[in-house]
Amino acid sequence: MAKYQEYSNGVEPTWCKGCGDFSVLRSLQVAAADLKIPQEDLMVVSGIGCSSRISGYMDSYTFHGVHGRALPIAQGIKLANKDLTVIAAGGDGDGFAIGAGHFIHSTKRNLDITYIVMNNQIYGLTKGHASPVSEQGFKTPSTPQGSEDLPLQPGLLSLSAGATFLAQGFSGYQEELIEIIKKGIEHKGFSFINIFSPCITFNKTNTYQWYRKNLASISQEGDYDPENYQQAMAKLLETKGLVTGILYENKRIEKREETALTKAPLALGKAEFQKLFQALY
Amino acid sequence: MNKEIQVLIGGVQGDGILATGVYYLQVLSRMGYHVYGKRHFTSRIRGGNSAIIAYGSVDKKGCPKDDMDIVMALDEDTMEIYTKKLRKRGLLLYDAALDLKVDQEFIKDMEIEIIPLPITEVVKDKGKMIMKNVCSLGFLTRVTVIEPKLVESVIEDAFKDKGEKIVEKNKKVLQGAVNYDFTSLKGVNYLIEPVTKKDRGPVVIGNDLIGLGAVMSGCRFMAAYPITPSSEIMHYLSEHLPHYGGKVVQTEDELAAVNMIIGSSYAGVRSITATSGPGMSLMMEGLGLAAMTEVPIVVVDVQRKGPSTGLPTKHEQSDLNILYYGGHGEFPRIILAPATFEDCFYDTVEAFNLAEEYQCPVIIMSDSLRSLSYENIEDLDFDRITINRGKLEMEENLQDGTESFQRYKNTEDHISKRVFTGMKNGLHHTTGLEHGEYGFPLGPKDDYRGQAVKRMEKLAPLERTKGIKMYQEKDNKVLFLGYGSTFSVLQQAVKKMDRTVDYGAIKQIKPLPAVQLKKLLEHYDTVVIVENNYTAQLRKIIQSEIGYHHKLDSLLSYDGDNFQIEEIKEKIKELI
Repeated sequence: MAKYQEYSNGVEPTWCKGCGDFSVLRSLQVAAADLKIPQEDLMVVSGIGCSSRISGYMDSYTFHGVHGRALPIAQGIKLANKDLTVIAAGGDGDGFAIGAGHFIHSTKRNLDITYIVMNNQIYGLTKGHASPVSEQGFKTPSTPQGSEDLPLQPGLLSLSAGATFLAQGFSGYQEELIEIIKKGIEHKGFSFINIFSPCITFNKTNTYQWYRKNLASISQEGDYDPENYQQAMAKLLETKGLVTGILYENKRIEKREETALTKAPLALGKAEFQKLFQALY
Repeated sequence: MNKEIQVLIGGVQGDGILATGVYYLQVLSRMGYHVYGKRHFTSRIRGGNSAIIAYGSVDKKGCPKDDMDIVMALDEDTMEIYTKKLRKRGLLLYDAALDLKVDQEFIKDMEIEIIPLPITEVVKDKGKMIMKNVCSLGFLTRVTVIEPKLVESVIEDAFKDKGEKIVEKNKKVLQGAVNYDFTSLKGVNYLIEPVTKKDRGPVVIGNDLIGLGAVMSGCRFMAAYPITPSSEIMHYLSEHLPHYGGKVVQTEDELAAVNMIIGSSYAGVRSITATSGPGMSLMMEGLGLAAMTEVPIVVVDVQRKGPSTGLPTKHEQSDLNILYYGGHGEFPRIILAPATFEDCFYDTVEAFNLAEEYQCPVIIMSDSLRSLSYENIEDLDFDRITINRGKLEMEENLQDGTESFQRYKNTEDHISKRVFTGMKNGLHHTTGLEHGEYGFPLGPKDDYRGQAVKRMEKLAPLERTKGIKMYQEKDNKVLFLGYGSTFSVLQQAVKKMDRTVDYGAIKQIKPLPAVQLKKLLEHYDTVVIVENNYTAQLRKIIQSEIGYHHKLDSLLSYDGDNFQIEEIKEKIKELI
């Protein structure tokens, strides 16, 4: 049995002591170990932000891209080599603000990758600006009178974009988180995992205590059917998105045809060249 | 007898004007002529005037001539806009269903012959309005005295995929035009000098050759967002790549496109994207990421008239500055500019090799006319296709150790070996942050110059290439240099002069072939850079990098079209 430590490269994270992202990193490492994913076949791609530094702490192939673009890079890699387990990761600003377009389109494209968002409802790396999921009235240096915008609802957004897998977790519930990440990786299609991962330095509202108090859990509901789309929508509306567990999984949808472009031969012979030339007529 | 014929066919957009023009080019190509075709179109799908210039000649041209031998008008706008383009004793053909709208004085001065043709009448009688394009072709080939059997063969090939019935219906319309009995056509003909060669190959556009070049280079992935005038590259690859295990993804925007190919190329696949100016603006951050992470990518920019949305269907070469300097920070990139039709193919092959050899973005800088103009292509040299993947580490050579792979190892030539995800013992980190040899971000104890020197100096060998292709070196005192589609017009202008200047094409735009350029600037008294933009972008880049301010001169045009041959001739006359 692989140990989760094998997926750690020993680099000490730059995160603040107590940051929710430590739990996400460990959960990802445990999930990878439990699923026995060979390190060389594990690809972790991230954007920019505190949480996006996660790729730099994994002992696998890792790509730390530019702000908001983890998903396009991850999809390019998956299209190139279907045999890889591809994880995209980042924060709520990376995914729901600058990368929101890619989030919606990756959802509808439904490639077999897992997208982990460490959602702390604030921009940590820029020292505490409002994020697209910050609540109305949320005061930050860029919103001293309180945020005027309505918060985006990632769960509803994901479902309406055609998600085939939607789960939410919380850094404080690590056992559930590990299970969710494993299920997400195993899902054949785009799996979106929205993780409430508190920023202890800049977000004094959405703290560990606040999440513990406000989060509902569907794993405690015996009659919840993750394959029921309407029920998932209803649950998100009912809880204002503050719920953990596997909310939705579409197992019936036909798996997208996968590609192994790296295996395609590069050089074409003269006969093939002539065929292509003739096709110009 | 004439050595060439140039016809402008115009009508309402959506009426199949383009088809008439392309069929005519195909007919001429089968007769053994070199052909060139150019569209004049707008961003509307239907309505508005649309025109195509179809040019056939005994010698290869690569650009249109300044005036028309024949204007064929299928709408009144065409008569009004283009009649004045006719040469002396030129021919105006128009659909008899239209009112004649011409400047009578011009007609008289230029001795223009005007012939109404019963196009609508024949179409209504023999077929459906949708076949107007074939009917027009019938009349045009009749006026230009072309063997009807040959025209039929082109129509058969054009419609064969649509079934026998459609072919027959179109042939009936064609024959209706060819056999129409009327006296006004008697004595009218426009004979072209016969050539012995029978077929000069398929009629395609530059974008098709870029697509073919990509397939033959081993490119197996494209991500792109549709945009005029680059979309045909995506169309070509969407059709052909799946046959070779490849794939095309139409992305949500150009940001996704460039980042997706960074991902696929990082994973080991030769990858391309294509766009135009507006998309190029969005791709700047991606170029920086590819350069910083040393991931090879090929980006085609088919320039159109800017800025902003500009004139999407009009030509310009004004993206050079953004391609050359664009993006934040400093990073290496290579820019190639195909000057001829064939270059579109060979330069694409070269672009993929350079990208992997130097591990940086390579931009194929095309322009609207280079990419969308029609020409016939006789042959492409299979033996000139090479695939060089640059420095790769083999999986069997990777050592099992505690340290990760040194992806960014400093070497003498500043280029390090690549490995691909999936290779055992090749684990490493890649980041757009400044990093060291292992790819990890710099820490407080590191030298913050990081790997700037490694990246910036790796392209030095390219400054010593023969990136300028000289077409005429007769020891003249004046040298004219063009790039992209301006080159062919320059070539025709020089060829039409008795007293002459030397000329060539700048094909490697970045890095500038500094050694060769310095030699040329030493040798000539004056070097004129011919380009389609307002601010003399390339001339200024050469001046700032190479010097010789007093010797460099410009010829500029930014009217959305190619240079007139006469404009370049005037400039030549001024200098010799």
